[in-house]
Parts: sequence; C-alpha cells; structure tokens
Amino acid sequence: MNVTLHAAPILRTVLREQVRIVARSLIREARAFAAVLAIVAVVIGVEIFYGRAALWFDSDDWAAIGLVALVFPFSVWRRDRLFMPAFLWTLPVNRAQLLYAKVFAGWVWLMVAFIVFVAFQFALSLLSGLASPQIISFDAGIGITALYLLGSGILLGLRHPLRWFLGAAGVLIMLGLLERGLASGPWAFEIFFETPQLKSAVERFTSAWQRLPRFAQSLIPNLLMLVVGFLTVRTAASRHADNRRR
Amino acid sequence: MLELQDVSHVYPNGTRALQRVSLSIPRGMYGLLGPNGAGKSTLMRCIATLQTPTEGGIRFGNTDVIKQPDELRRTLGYLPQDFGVYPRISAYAMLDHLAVLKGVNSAADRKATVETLLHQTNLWNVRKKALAGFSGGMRQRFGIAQALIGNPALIIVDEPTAGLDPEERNRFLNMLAEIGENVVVILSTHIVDDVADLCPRMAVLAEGRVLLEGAPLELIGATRGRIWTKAIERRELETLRQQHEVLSTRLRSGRTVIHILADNPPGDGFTSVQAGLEDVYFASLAEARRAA
Repeated sequence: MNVTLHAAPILRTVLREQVRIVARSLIREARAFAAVLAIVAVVIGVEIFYGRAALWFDSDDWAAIGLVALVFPFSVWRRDRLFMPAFLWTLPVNRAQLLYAKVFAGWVWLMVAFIVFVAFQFALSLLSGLASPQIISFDAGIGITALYLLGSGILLGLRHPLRWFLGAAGVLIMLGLLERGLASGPWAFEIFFETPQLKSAVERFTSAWQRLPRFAQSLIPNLLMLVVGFLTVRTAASRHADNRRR
Repeated sequence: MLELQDVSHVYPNGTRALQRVSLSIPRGMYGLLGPNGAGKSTLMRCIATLQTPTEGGIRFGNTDVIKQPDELRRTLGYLPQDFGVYPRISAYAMLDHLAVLKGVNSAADRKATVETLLHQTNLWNVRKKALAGFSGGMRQRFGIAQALIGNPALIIVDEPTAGLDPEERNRFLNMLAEIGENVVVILSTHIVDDVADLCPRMAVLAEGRVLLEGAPLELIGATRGRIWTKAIERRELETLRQQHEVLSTRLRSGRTVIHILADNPPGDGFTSVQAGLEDVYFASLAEARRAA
C-alpha cells in the first residue's frame, strides 16, 4: 500500500500563523491592558485639568514592565500541554520550530504593547506640559526582551515553573531579610567580601566600569541578560525535541 | 494497511501496558474494544507517534512509524479527547490554524479546505463561535473536521462517542462510516454498539493482550450455542454467579434477564439465545479472566 504524504508546513507560514493565533488568544490580556491605560489616562487627565504636574511615574523606570515581561509567557502558553503527549505533537510541524515560532509571536505582541505604552507615556508627558519628557530608552526594549526570554525559558524548560518562580521569590525575600540582619554583622558574607583580594578586584572592576560611556553601562548588562535569555530558551527547546514518551 | 508486530510497552514504573500485540488493520473502519485499562490508549498513542513502544514494530504502508514519525504525521488524522489549546478561538480560526500546522501552506487551499470541512461536518453556521462554547457533539464534529485536514490515509479516533446524546452519536457514527470507506480508521472505544454498528473488523484488547480479532459476524458465529439466557429474580443472581459464568444482566419489565456462557445446556430453565457482539465481548473477557 502506497501512502501519499501531503506537504510539510513551511516555517514562514507557521511563523505568521503563530503571530496571528497568539494575538487572538491574548485578547483578554489586551483588553485588561487597554483598561489600565484608560484608567491611568483618566486619572492623569483630571490632574492636568486641575493644573497639577501629572506624570508622577518615572518613565525611565521599566522594572514593572520587566516583571510583566517575565510572566507574560504564562499567558502565551496557557493551556499548552508541554510535558505530556499532546494533540499538537501528532501534527507534522517540527516541535522545536513551533516552540521558537510561538516564543517569537509572544515577543512580537509584547513589543507592540511596550511601544503602545511608551507612546502613551509620551503623549501624557506632552499633555502634562513637561518640557522634555523622558521616554523609556532603547535598551529598555532589550532588557524587556531578555526578561521575556528568561520567563519563556523557565516556563518551557521546567515541569513546575510556577513553583520555581515562587521559590525564587521566596529566596529573594529571605536574602533581603538576611541583608537587614547583616547590618549588625560582621557575618560570613561581609567577611568574604572584605577579603583583600576580592575587595581590590571589585574596586578595579568598579573603576573600569565607571570609565565606560553611560550608554554602555546600561547596554552591557542588558545584552548579557539577552544572551542568558536566548540560552535559556534554547536549553528549554532541547527538552521539547521529538523525544516521545517512553 | 497498518501492521503491528509484537508491540509491547512497559512503563518506567513496571506496568505492562501492551504485551506482544500483533494486528493487521486493513482499509475501512476497525474497532478496538476493551475495558478501561486494557491498553487501548497506549496502543493509540504508539500508533499516533506520541509514544515509542519498548518493543515491536509498526508500519503503515511503506512508513516505519517508529523510525519515521514525521512521515506518518503527514498522513495522520487524530481525533483526541481534548485539544487543549485556544478554547476562546472560533472554529474557523482554529481549523485554519491547524491546517497551517498540517502543511496546507497556500491560503487559497486552506480557505477551500476549511470551508468544505465546516460544511461537511455541519458546523458552518457556528463557525464564528468559540470552541469553548461548543456542545459535546459539536466538539466531536469539529474534531473530525480537523482530523480530515490534508486527506489523511490513517485516522485514529479515541472514545469519540463518550458523552454524546443518541442523536449526536448517530450523526457522528454516520459521518465516520462515510469517511471509513476510503481510508484506515481505528475506532478505539469501550462502547460495544459503536463497533457493532460500524466496523467490518475488530479486536478485543484486555490487560495489554489481543483476546479476539476478526469480523464481528464471524466472532458472533464462533459463540453460537454457548450463550444462554433466563429471566430471574434479583435475589437469585448471586447464587447463579457462583454456578455459571454470568456475562451480563439487564432489567426487562422489572425482571432481571441474565446471559451466561456455557459449552453445554445448563438446564434449570435457561434457553439458548442468538449471541450479540456484547456477549462475544464479555465472553472473551470472562475467558481471559479464567485463563489468568
């Protein structure tokens, strides 16, 4: 019996399709985002109306957006069964390719949201009469991308990503508490960092760092984060190659 | 023709899900019957390239399913119990999406395919409705629509009529029967009537082994003269269970009607009855239990 095989999916078409379908699946998030912007616009509008300076948030501070970028993959991959035999695996599309395509699609819409947010901030800054509104710098985009990739890698590479996220948050809180405790030191950390060799290495690094141009000081950590993000996604993708359950 | 040769599967925890299963499945509808835990789902997953059996071989035409899973996927239609992703998306958009992932690369071909399938499965009027709002029957018809994308030569349907009302079930089975004329369709179920109505060939699976294989009529014929029936009082049932191999009990006009398996006339008011596929199924399970 000869079986006729139909064509295999083309990467370009799969990529375009992922961008389209991820957009459709993110409608609820898009509505929530629009609602937040609308509320902020109303509040600031009232402030402007009464002649008070309205743009109270620092437009160069993108930590909040970074946090959103980190957890955004949970929305993109919601309901996907990543670690069990799932229906999508029976389709002839390459699994790793599909994974990268979906990560890319999520990134596209994250960047769209980011640009909308920057434009929104810019418009409000102009309306509130601030002379030179600070706009989130270009490397914020890199940082947000890096955090999104990191979040995607964690989600795709771990069987229980939420537990890891919560665990990491717990560890950070513990370290924060520990740091407060250290104020009354000397503790092991302080003793370690006070060793002459380490202290002089840190000082040399700090002095070299401060000689760098300002844009480089911002760009280098973001690029490093970007590389880490890419590597995380790549490592996670290797777990989703065609390794069928045994 | 789909050929399974000595397919065995042992899970890492030691559970033997399949034990040397060998089947030749020709074009047409093929029923795979078995109780829960018989190994049907494991077998379906192995054929659908979701799982690699620990031993044995699976071939579909010239394709080695275990070594060339991508080739099989290019001719496979699989109806799962749940699609999992994008419940808020319309039937049209989801079919279009799946058509892309199945390799229907041209937008015009995709449009034609999706529209034909929506008409064929009688979902055209609800094409803009989100899948999450579909009834069980609509979801199953959507499942068949997506399974048919790309004219597959092998279709696997896993428990397709579970939870359907009689009208939807009837409509769904008619649709399957039409499809099954030209391709290999494996219908995995524990509902005997689905197999009896549709499948010219079938197998009964229990505890990972093939107990019976053949055409339903032949299998029914092989049980001729061994099935006996009697209407009894409910309180007699336990005693009769101890004396005979009771295959099934059914309430009829307030009385319990039992079917038993016996090579010789059991006497005691029992009369011979024309066996049905259900009797064959229960008899094979009973014999397997006895042999164990």
